Amino acid sequence: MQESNNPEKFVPRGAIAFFALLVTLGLIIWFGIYFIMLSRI
Amino acid sequence: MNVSRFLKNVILAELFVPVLLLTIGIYHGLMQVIYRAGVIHQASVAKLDYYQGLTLHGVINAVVLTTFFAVAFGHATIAFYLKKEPNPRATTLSLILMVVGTLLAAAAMLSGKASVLYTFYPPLKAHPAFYIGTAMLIIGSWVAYWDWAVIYVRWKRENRDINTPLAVIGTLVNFTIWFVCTLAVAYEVLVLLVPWSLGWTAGVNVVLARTLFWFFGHALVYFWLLPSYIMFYTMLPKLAGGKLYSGMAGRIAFFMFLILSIPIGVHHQFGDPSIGRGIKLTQSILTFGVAIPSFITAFTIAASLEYAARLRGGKGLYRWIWKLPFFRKDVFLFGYLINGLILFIFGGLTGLVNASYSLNNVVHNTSFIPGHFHLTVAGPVFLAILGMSIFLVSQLTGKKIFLPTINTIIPYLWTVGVLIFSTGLMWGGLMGEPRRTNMGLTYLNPASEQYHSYWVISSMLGLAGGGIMFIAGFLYFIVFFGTFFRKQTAPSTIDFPVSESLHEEKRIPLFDTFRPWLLLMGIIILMAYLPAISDALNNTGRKAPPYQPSDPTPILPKNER
Amino acid sequence: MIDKFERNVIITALLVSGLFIFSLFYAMGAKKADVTECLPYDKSYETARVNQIDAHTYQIFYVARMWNFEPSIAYIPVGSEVDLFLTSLDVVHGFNIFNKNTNLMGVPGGVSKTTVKFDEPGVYKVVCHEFCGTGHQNMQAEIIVNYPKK
Repeated sequence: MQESNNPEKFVPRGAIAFFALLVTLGLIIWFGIYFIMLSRI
Repeated sequence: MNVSRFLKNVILAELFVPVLLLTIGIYHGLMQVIYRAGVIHQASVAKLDYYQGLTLHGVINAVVLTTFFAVAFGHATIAFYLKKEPNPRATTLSLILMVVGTLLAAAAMLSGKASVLYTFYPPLKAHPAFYIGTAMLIIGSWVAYWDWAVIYVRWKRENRDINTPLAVIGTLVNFTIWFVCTLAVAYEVLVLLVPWSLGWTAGVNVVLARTLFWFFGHALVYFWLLPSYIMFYTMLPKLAGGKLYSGMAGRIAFFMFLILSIPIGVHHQFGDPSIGRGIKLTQSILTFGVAIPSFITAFTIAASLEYAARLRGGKGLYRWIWKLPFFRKDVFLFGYLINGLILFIFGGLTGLVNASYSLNNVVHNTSFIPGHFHLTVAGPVFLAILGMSIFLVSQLTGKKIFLPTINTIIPYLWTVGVLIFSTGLMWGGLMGEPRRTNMGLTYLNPASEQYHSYWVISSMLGLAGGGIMFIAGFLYFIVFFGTFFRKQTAPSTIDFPVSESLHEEKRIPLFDTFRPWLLLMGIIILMAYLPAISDALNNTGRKAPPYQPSDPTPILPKNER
Repeated sequence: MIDKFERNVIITALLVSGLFIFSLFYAMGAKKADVTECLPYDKSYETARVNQIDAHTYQIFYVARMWNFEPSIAYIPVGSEVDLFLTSLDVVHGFNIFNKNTNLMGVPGGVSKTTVKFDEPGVYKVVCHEFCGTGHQNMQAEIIVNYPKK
């Protein structure tokens, strides 16, 4: 893993996947409460 | 790095005093979940009333502990990175003001004359010692900040072409936010509330006082959070065995916090009268702006950890996670910081809900709110304070950590507790469970007409989680005081883990100077807050006389009694 | 200057914020979901009363004090649209109707206003959710929706 880990070529695939999950979770939580609000109009 | 005996003693005192008080704060945290779940149906236990305990819990945990820690950590960071110790006279003055102020406020709260909660909303009146003590604590922290600013300016004059260390930028940004936002609360306390509580002025404009409080109150949460962010950026990648993915991200994040932390406080006042909807909507939208640095941080830290784990032979899209040093005693700080980040995923996202204009109607002042902020202030903030306080005490006193295995488990236990606790509170909040209420007397008392069975399970979850948090807190006290009172085995030092950057960082002058950012900060604050203050002044019909929490009739000035 | 993945992170965060803001504007325009309205203060708001404007439009002027709301019970026919006004005579109080988006602060010297529609019959509980002194946990009210019976 020494040379293949050249910092210039490091692509944070795991971090990108994590960020996608984070945004998805955010959308679920936010719209979950949003629809609770609409149902209480 | 060697530290002088003086600085060592100052930092140790600034850790010892708040942690000693924290024992009272955590005890009252446990008591609240017991009252609220209806285990006991009493107004007080051991002569300490529920609301008195809630005041102690809020003020000690969220104001005293966090302020003392930020100053202690700031001293350590500035001295470590700029190789210059603070001025002894300024530092002594700062320490004395903070300790005396804290003792005054603590005496007022413990005597039961200041049960007004940590937001101290007038017209509920506390003893003047409570207001004066809080103001002294804040002013003491200003003195430390001014001294660091002088050290920084001198250092910068000698090092014009060297990029200022990220930790120093973070510390100065944090205390600049703190200084500006506390100007409003100092005005509220010293000009509006102290004369009023002494009976010199008859009434106070309540909406104005609330607006000034929240000018401070939301920036306060970033003041809590930024020391943790400094640790995430400058220490966590090194602790994990890797490098910081991008130092630029840290600089962008800190300067965004500087300009956007304050002009969003009205999102705590969506339910208030007198303030126009336009300002409420504007500040709600600005709050989305202050979420962006946290999104950047989430990604950059994840990428840094991934890099570290791949260096250790981690593979796959997510299997690398198991290569991280979760339970290693030599880098125990990693456990504290990573658990804080896990909690902050949920804390940050629920925070977006709270600040989202009409969505706030679903959650405002329900137990959803404490559910949320225990995922932030009792998450990344508190865990970083616990971990770093043990780290600093061990290094400064040259003593080995007491019960190191327990020390690695504490953050995990705490995190499990907070997750259960917050799930209960947030679920209850969506069913209308109010915060700041001794529910054991009425809503969760089967003998009461107001008994509300829907809240049994949610408040029981709160109790279960709170119990686990209490156990984790108790173990922390054993480790902290155990380390403190051990025999010295090594010389006194400060040696922070320092993360290198993965890519070489070019110095960009815009991200190594404060002036343009301070100007922008001032402009945005004025634009966001002048209309809010003007509304509070013009639309409020009358001023309010002071009230004792126990008495529905106002306290009349002495000459009218 | 900035890493390309981080630039994409910022763009994503901005897009998500934009989606949230759009949804809030939609709720405000199409569903009238809004926060507390600001009205100039007037001494008359300190008198609790229920006014009927027409068959399905009511006004309730709530007055909060340590430790009750007036009117403590209000009767409203099913399907009514109600303008709620709230002020406080002493300290700060909170006003939250269960399962409704009504969430107001009662502040001395200020008037909070919102509009709420009751389509379902039932007893709607109101709790005070801001600490207002030692009797805070007793402070509640009811809105009974089904009157007169239909």
